[in-house]
Amino acid sequence: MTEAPRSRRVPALLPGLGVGPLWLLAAIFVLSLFAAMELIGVAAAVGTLQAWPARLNGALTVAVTGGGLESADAAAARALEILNHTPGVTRAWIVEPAPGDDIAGDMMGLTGTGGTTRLLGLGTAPGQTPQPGRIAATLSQAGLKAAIDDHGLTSGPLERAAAGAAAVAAGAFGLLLLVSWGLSARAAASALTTRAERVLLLIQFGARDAAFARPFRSWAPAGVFPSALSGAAFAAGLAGAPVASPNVAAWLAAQGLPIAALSAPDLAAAAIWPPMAALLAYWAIDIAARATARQLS
Amino acid sequence: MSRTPVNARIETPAPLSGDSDVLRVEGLAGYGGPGQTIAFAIPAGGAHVIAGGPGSGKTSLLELIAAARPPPQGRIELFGKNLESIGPRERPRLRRRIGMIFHDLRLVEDMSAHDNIALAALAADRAPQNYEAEVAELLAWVGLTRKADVAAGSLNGEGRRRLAVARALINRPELVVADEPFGDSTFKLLSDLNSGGIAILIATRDLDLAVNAGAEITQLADPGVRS
Repeated sequence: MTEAPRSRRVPALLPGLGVGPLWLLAAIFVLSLFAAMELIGVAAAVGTLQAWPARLNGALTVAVTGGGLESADAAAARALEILNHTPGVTRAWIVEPAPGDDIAGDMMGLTGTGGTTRLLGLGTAPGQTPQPGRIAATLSQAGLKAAIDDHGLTSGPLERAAAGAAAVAAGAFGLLLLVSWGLSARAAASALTTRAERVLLLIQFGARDAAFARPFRSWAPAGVFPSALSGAAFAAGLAGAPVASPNVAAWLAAQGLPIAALSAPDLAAAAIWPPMAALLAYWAIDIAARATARQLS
Repeated sequence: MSRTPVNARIETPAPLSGDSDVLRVEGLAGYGGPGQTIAFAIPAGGAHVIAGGPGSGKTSLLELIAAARPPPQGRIELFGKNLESIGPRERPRLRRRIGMIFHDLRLVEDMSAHDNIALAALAADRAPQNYEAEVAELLAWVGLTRKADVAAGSLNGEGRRRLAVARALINRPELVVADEPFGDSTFKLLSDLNSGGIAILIATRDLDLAVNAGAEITQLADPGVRS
């Protein structure tokens, strides 16, 4: 009588793979930190940009900032008075202040003034819109620091800056994705290469390419995803600290560091990255493992 | 040891395309002496010996065949399929029909005897419930049942060679390729397999042994001697 085979642990095709090499997990953590920071920044910028067209609905927008003993509000009131008497301007108004106005001022060319920005909208008579340069000169003559946006797709500083920022953000995000893909693929290929003797033995036994991808399947969910999640959470924590803690905000302000007005949805944008990174790693690792096995065989 | 091995009792494989040769080699150059070309065929259940001295290319030839790779010159047909014309997906399927016993055995030293055999089955996409009984039976056939959980590296030379034979058989090969098998008991196992209907291809430097085996012989010339 033959003894019934007792249940045994199934031997690992490729031993010691774990959930991925430490260097990959560390790299994913750092990349995730940058990626999440970028996503938070983009979410905040998109939120601000989406609000601008509704608020800045004049034919022209004027940004002014205070100087010397004059506050931004006082400067805006003075600019309003001047603009209401400028030929071609049918109506001028002070736009309700909102977070992001300082950024708009920076984009329009008030960089380095360091003061608070106030925005003004201008209605103009059809065919008689005054030249932005002329308005700037008029305000300058009155001692006001001002910048003008004509909302042209190519001539408007806000529009140009928004398009440029979107392109840079997309490019940087694409680069982060590409680096994540490359590192994951490199790690899988390297893990197989260092186990070449075992791989060749398995190939001789008839292992297919897919058999070499299978032992790596835990890397993405159990290694890359937690690393990406940690990195993204860390980034959200850093970005959200000034929002959550007035002490942190006060300390940063004392250091002269800019504090972005972030909302909870802005911070939540960081959550997009970890699943994205894990899926990308899964795909990269699968392809790299199959390709390396094929190469070794 | 009088038991019939698992593989000798397996169902007859699907008929080969064309003829019944499991292996056909034609016009193979680059092995043996300069200018020597090799041609031989092994019918289903047949046996063939490649004899040659050190450096004659026996191991390279066997590994080329066992890996189901197309030769740089000449033609190899495995189970009726020309290796030149098969795709990369087909190659693993052919390799599973070959049981390879390496000259250096290539056992996984830190794995148990049982797991060494199981590894070969896993590589061929077999599930544990599908191979466990056969592993036990093969271990019994080579007399290693009591050493099933002993690491391959801790077995003696004889045990290691037997384990290599058992591992080569787990995927029910139709052709067993043995590179310079060593020891009487290994030869006895190979002989039993051949009697059970499994084709055998052996490389050896011992021409006497090849003659005694009664199989067809291909003699590889010394690489330094022009044939």
